Amino acid sequence: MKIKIPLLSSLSILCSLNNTYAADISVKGLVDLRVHQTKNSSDNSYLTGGYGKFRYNDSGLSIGQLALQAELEINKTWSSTLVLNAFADKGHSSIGYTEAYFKYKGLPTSNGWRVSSKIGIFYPNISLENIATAWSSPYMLTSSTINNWVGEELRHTGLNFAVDKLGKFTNSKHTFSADISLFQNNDTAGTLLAWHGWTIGSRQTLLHEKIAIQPFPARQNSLSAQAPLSDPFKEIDHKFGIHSTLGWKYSNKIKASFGYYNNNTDEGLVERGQYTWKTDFYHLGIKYRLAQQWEIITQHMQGSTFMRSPELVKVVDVDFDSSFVMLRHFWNDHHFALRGEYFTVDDLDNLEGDNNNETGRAISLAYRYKLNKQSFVLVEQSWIDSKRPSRWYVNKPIEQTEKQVQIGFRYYF
Amino acid sequence: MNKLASLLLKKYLPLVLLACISSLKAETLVVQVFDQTNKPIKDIVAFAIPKFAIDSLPSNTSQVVIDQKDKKFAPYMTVIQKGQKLTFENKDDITHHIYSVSGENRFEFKLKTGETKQTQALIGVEEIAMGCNVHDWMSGFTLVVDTPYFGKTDDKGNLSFNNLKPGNYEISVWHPQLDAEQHIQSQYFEITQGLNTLDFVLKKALLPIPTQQGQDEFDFLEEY
Repeated sequence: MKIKIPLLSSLSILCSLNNTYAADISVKGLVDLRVHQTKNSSDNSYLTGGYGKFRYNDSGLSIGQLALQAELEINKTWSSTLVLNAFADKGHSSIGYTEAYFKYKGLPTSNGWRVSSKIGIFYPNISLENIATAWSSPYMLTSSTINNWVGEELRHTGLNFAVDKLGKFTNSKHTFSADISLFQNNDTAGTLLAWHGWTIGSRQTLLHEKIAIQPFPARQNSLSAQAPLSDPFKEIDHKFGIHSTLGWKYSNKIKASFGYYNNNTDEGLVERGQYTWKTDFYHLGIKYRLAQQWEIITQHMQGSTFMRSPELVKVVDVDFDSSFVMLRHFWNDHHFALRGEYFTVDDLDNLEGDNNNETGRAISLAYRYKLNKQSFVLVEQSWIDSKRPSRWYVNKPIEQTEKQVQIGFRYYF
Repeated sequence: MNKLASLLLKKYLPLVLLACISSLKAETLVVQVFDQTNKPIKDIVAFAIPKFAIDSLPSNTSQVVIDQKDKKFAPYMTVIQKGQKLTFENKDDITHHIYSVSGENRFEFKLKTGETKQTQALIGVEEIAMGCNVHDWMSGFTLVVDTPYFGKTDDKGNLSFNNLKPGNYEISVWHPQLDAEQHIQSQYFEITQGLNTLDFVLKKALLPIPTQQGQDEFDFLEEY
């Protein structure tokens, strides 16, 4: 009920606005229904406190994503956006917000300079996959390990300021951009990545949600103060984190971006079982149109996260990195995407009963068929081959190959 | 010899016919635009400005429509007379945010699917670069000229101006991809009685027109 009240009231506000300013509101959305068969490495998915690397377990039907994205046009340059999402699979269903922000987008000057800004709760500018309505990926039914983590633990609550230099005003094929975000409510970012490692899925954490932490022996002693559920969007130290990116586009052939994220938390704070995790990383992305019907997308992320006890002893300390390369080929109504990934987590601390080391590779192959302008059928097969010693804590083999096949129907409106 | 005669016939017969159609008193100028390899250039804008005192030039009041179709400006290039308005028609099923930030001819409006909007009378004599603030790759150009004598060349690179008074004219061609000052190349030409023809050769090749297409082909993209 706690969730439903703001949901209903915001919907009624939207509806009443819709009556008053019918022309100024637009509602878009997505219906994504799936059949899946998953062979996870443990009994549970990482989402429900298991060590399984996929979103699903076993086999069944699910609501991959139900999304409503409402945009209120305040004037020509200001708008506000509210994104509602619902996800449903066996025993793990939820509905709520993922983003809510005001946006300013100015007109370019006659030299091509343009300023824009976001204020509110919004995704960091990292993913080159999740670019469609409600942060869905048009290419596949799953996001890569990098972007699945972005969807799970990262969200900016704050201010973004961006400058673009559009090349077309000076007959140049080069467009440059730079942006900076100052954010809060991300002091626990890194908790889940450290404890369940890299994962592949299509689940975005809703703003009110808390995610179960995997069982491991240190939670009985050194980490007994840790709450059983991690709250990814919590503010503890009341300081701002920083995230900045630089972008470059060449004609409609290349898009590249580079960024640095640092949640800039004070170390050793704990509030209601939620610790501050000091997390920083670099990310790089390139999207290159090789030929008219071929494109390559690659992203790399590398960083570290650690948490200290209130006595300032470093308790959990890991380095992480992940890379993927996606090749996509498309013609008429057909679209193929092949994605290969490599990821690691290096455990740097000596805490007993909390081995967070991990290495893994993943391959995903997806075919998308366009039924009509708005409807698509997708079929996807994924394999994750990983070595994660912590599975030993739940009596599962350290080395595992997990498999998943999904058939999805998507309707965008 | 026969070949030459037929070539001449092919090239000039339409012009002769055109001259016949035009009124007896009026002078006609046919401009044919070529590149340096002698290839005719179609769809390039040409205009003629009289360089002598004329009491009043006629005003063009026809409606000029630029469509937004398939997330492109169509046509890509438009030419109007000072004081004319532009009408934009959104034939896509999404909203566009049309703008010009050029000199005196600034305009900006959001255009929902199926909507039509008109600018104010455009009075700045200049090239207008138009864009869409939602789809950065969309690009279109309008040239505002201070003369009623303008148009675009046909498939054979020809454009005819009728009802001209004899005298000296500045004949210009314009294309956003013409590598020249203000993207315009001009020359003087004297119009005499009867049919006048001018072979207008571009000094530099036109640069390629940028494709009005985003990198991602998917229809339901957001600005993430």
